[in-house]
Order: sequence, then structure tokens, then C-alpha cells
Amino acid sequence: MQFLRWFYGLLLNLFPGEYREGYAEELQAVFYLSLDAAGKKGRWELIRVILWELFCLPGAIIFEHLRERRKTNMLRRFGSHFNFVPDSRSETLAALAPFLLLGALPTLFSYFSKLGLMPGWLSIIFTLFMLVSVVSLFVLGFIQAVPRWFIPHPGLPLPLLSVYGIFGLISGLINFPNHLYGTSWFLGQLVFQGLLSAGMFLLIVLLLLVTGLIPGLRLFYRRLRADWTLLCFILYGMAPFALVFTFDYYINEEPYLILAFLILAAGGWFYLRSTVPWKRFLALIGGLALSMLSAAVGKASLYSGPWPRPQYFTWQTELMSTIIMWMWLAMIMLVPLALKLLPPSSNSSPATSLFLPRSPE
Amino acid sequence: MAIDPIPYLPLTEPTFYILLSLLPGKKHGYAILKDVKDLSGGRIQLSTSTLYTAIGRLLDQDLIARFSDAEETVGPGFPRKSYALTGLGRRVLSAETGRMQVLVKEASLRLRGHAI
Repeated sequence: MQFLRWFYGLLLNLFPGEYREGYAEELQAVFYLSLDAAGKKGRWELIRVILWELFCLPGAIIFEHLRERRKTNMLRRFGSHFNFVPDSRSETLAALAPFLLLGALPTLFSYFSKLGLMPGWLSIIFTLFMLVSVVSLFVLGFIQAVPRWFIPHPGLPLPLLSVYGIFGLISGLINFPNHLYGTSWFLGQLVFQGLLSAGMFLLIVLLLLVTGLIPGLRLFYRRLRADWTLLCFILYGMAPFALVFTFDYYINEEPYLILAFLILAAGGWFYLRSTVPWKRFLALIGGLALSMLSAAVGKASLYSGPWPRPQYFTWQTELMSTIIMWMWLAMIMLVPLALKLLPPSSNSSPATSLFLPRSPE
Repeated sequence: MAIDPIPYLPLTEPTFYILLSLLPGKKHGYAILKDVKDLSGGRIQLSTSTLYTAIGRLLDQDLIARFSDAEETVGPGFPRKSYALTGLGRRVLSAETGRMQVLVKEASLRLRGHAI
């Protein structure tokens, strides 16, 4: 009997590796129980069961190998289109899509349309195409278990949740201290934009808690812990929304907006090309600062143009409001540094970092 | 939206009995093996490897789900994984039963007309 058990265990090695890992222990346990039950019924029943098991085994082994191959082929076919080679042009374009496809290009088409260089309907079609592309990349990034190119994409919806969700809740609960504007416009604006950004701090904490506590998401948490700049890159993805938000009500802002989006893309490009965490962080902070600066200068220079500004707005307040927004965004991007202060994650290892080169399948 | 069970039909006899065996609740591999034999009146005797090939396919199709049992809840030597029908598995089983009822009804009517 012992020999039979040993022999069956040996034969199980003929199954594909992944199948063996998942089922070998169970197969052995059920086989032993079947032998025990047959042994109690007599020698002939035992022989019958052994022969039946050995007769069926080759077919099952072949079937599992075929299934394994079919699964691998299916995964390869689906995944290969979006499993970009690290540092390739495709990977860079996919990573910078929030800044280029959702930011710079639709703004450029809209500007061309305004200047009469492109029909309005064509601009709308192009913009819709870009939007669909970014949404598709967003879905694919999740399906592909958050590859490197996907990192800035989840940053896109975060400001929407923060401003329209959490700020909406805060403003419903407390009255904004308007008297602060009477004391100092700067102070009033600082507190107002702080309240707008408060949701982002909460969302970061929520993101870390959810990924840390839900078993299925822990690998992602470990990646965040292994490389704190990943969270910075996620948060960098919120910048396009901030730019659009800061130019609200402006007219002819497109050239400045396009420049700001391109600077953001450049910051992202430097981040992807760098291997040193501090350099990566500086690329993002620098990209954000220059981008917001170009927006601030754009607002100040467009101030005298035709846009429906309230009377108490001056070019100085316009310039400063964007600089205050940048200050808060920069503060939010400093939060991931706190990850370095936390005790090491129990299973964190450099191998879990997204920034190790991934070979394409 | 609930997945349509019709594309999963018809089921093979062993698959039908495996799903039927899981209808009352969770079972581990050996219990399924015994139950299939009992339900089929001894006609279908699955080997261990055939059973797990079928289980693997049913898991891929989301007709059953796999659960890890705590060591103390299973007897010594028993597998620590058990299986249960999913909602889809239950609907597929029900659809297959309905399909077979129609077959039996039609066949019975014809046979009655051509009584031997």
C-alpha cells in the first residue's frame, strides 16, 4: 500500500506544474481514501480501483496539459497587445495618456476648431476617440493587474471624488468661514483650497487602508510600500483635472493649457526614465510646479481678456490662486513620503516593485 | 445581469451528477466521488483524476466554487478543500433538468403512440 501511494505521488508529477500546485494534495488524499474504502471491501475491489485509477490517469494528464496550453495561449493573445516592453514608446504613450490623450490633444483640437482650422464635428469626434481610448486603457490597466504604464491613470478620478464627493459633504456640514476673506484674501483662498484638497488626503489614507486590508489587493499595497514614488505618480494623475479646474471660465486659454499638459507629460517621461526614487520624485514635483506656473502666468496674462470675471478678481489674485492650488497639490504629493516612516511591510520585497523591468510575454 | 445557462447545455452525465451532488451543500472531493456513484446507482464510477479534471473545468466555467476548510473541521486524511455550487451552477443544473424533462415527455408521447 505504501508503495502504491508513493507511486501515485510520483505519477502526479506528470501533471502541469500549476495544476499540481493546486490539486496534487487533494488528488492524493482522495486516492488514499478510495484505496482505504476499497481495501475494506476486499482484495478484488482494491485491485479494481487501482487499475481503474491507473487507467484514467494518462487521459487526465493529457487533458490538463492541453487545457494549460489553451489557457496560456488565450492569456498571451489577449495580454500581449498591452503588455508593453518597459521603456518602449508604446509603454510611455500609454503611461502619458492622461496628459496627452485626455489633456493636450483634445485641447489642441478644440483650439484648431475655434481658429477655423478644423471642422467642429471633427474636433468632437477626435475628442471622443481620445476619451474612449483613455477609458479603455483604464479598464485594461485594471484587468492587467496594474502594470507600470497604468500608474497615473487612477489619479484621474480622484479629484472628482474629492471635490464633488468629499468637499460637497464638508460644505454641507460646515459653513465656509467667509470672514477670512475680509481679514486676508490669501488666507481665505488658502483655507478654501485646503478644504477642496482635504478629500485627497482622506482618499490616500482610504486607498492605503483598502489595499492593505483586502487580501486580493495586498500585492498592490506591497508594491506601494516597496516603492513610495508609485503613490506620487498616482497622485500626479490628478494634475490634468486641476489644470482644467483652474482655467474655469477663461477664454482663449488653450495655448497655456496645452503647454501645461505637455510639461506634465514631460515630467511623467522623466519619471519613467529614471531609476532613482528621489530623481523620480523630483521629476514629478518639477513637472507639477512648471505646469502650474505656466497656468498661473497664462491666467495673469489672459486676465484683461474677454471672460466673465467677478469684480473682486485681479490679475494678482488669479496668479496667486493657481500658486495656492499648486502648494496644496505639492503637499498632497508629499504624503507618500510618510510610507517610508511606516514599519516595513511583512512581505515587502523589491521584487514586488512595479519598477523592476517586466519582460513581455 | 444573470448569465444565461443555455450555452452550457447539454451536460455530460458525470458533470450532471457532480453538480447534483453539490446541490445540498459544500462537499470535498471524496464525498463527491461517493455521492456520484450512489446517485447513479453505481453506473458512474469516477476515478480521482477524472473527478478533478471535471472539477477544474467546472471551476473555470464558474459553475462551482472552491473553499478552503480549516484543518480542524475535516477529518484526518480528508482533503482540506471543498466545493459548492455557484448561482450559475444551480441555474445550469435546473436548465439541464428542464431540458431532460422535455426530452422524456416528448419521447414518452411518441413511444405511447408506437406501443411495442
